[in-house]
Amino acid sequence: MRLTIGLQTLGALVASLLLLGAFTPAVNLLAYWRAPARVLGPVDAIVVLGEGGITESGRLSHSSLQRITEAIDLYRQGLAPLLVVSGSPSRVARPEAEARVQIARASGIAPEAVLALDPVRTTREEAQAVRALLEPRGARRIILVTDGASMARSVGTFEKVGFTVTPSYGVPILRWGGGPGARLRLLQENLIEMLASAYYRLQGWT
Amino acid sequence: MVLEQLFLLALVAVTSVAACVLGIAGLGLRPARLWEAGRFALQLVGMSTLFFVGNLAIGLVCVLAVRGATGTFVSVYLLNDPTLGVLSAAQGVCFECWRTSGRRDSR
Repeated sequence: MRLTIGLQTLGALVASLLLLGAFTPAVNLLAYWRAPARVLGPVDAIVVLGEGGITESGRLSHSSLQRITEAIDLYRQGLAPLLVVSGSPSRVARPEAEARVQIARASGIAPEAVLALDPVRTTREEAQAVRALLEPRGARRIILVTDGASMARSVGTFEKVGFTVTPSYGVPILRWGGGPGARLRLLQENLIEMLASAYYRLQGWT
Repeated sequence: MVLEQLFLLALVAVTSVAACVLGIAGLGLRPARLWEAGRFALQLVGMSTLFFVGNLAIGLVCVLAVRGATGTFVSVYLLNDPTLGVLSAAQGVCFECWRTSGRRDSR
């Protein structure tokens, strides 16, 4: 009987969470609250983190393409002289970073201004690899380009290895919109990131 | 925008009312049992949640154990798949129906 009541209570909590997440702006507030804020200004380098990788068809994933486009846009605004491109390994084609470098160069960015990391698999590895690449150049201030949900953990990880980090969006904007499905995806991303952040804190990586 | 979002809720409300009418008038179901059915539905959600959390926790331990023991990188994002939610729901529904079947048989 106690188990039954416990299950009913848990079920009611989960159902309420899903309804709140889907049909109220609570998730938008959560995402806004979690997003770090800094004033966007000139830095030493723009660093675009790996995201989504290469699809089965050998092309850049949609999210990966979005991020490199955002980074190219920031570069064109003259916010940094260097663009550092990261990405995950790929079994089916060239690594994500290599594909992104080609896009950056095709967009007219000078080859010497684009630096690619060797394939990496985690944010921690990315932070270490970027430090190894930029430290000899004396570059300490960076703009970080990644998706909103993972920005807080990424900023913390890069700050831990010695960078001064500005998120690519600068100061976050509270957005109330999005349909129920989009809000549930946002909730999922933020819950996953909250777990990942807790793990990174436990490991002493942020 | 708000109206667009309320459309889904309104749609579900309308079909729920239709199902109630059909259940009572067409199938002869007792209205008093609806509350009980709602609570049982929450039980199913609760049990599915337990399976989901259990699957996630065990999956996470496995991923970290493989990383630690072999040095092979296995991504935690393997667990970020909607299929896990669907399978956990199937596990939860099946197990809860099984758990309560004896009780329902004796009624």
